[in-house]
Amino acid sequence: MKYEMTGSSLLVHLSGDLDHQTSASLRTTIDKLLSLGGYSEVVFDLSNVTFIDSSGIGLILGRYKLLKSLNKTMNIKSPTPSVDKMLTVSGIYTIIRKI
Amino acid sequence: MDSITLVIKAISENISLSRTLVAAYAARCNPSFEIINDVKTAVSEAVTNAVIHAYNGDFDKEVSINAHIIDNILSVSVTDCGVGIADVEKATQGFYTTRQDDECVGLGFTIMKTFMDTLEVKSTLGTGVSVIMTKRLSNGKCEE
Repeated sequence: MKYEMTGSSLLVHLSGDLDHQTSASLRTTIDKLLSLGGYSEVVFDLSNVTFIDSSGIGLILGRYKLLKSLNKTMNIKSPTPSVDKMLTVSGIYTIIRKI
Repeated sequence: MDSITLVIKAISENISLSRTLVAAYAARCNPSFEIINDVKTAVSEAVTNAVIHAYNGDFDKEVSINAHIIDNILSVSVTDCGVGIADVEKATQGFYTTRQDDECVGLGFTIMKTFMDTLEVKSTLGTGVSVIMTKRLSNGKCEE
């Protein structure tokens, strides 16, 4: 996972497979990053995510709930077609914006 | 009839292996990338369910994955001998989960239903769960 700050926007680049195995450690790493503050918006760049299942969906939804509780905005950027299909089926786009 | 069988320990490290193996097996029928990915996703959901729910964290227990292809239709079964499901109908409804603390979203069976052509879930309490899914891989000739 890599990240960068652009103004008040925190861009988090995720990569590889987002499944039950990888989600646990990613959750810890991302939450540690989010706890540092200094941003008003978080964008998850999914352009390099090769696979996602419902565990990965749980990871994203969990971060959305966390950021919402902090009054921060969260967006999703550049999912691959297969990841986009999964996000659509799961209904994530009804609450998280794709930019 | 040709088939493959994979028996894994119920640990999360084996989820990726399971979906990749079934996808590689299905690839002999030259399915589209989208179909391969649908199969990978459904298998990942079924195996993840078994790993998380079947044995209450006893990682020494096993999950069996079997796949075969007949007339271009892939059939995959994922079987555990764990605690089973008390109410299969309720469990297969969207957003039903018994593990909210783990950020489980309860979409596993919904995704299996959506990404595969058929889904059958068999279970009785205390004897485990068997998930059987099928999907047409292509309309062309297949090296079964």
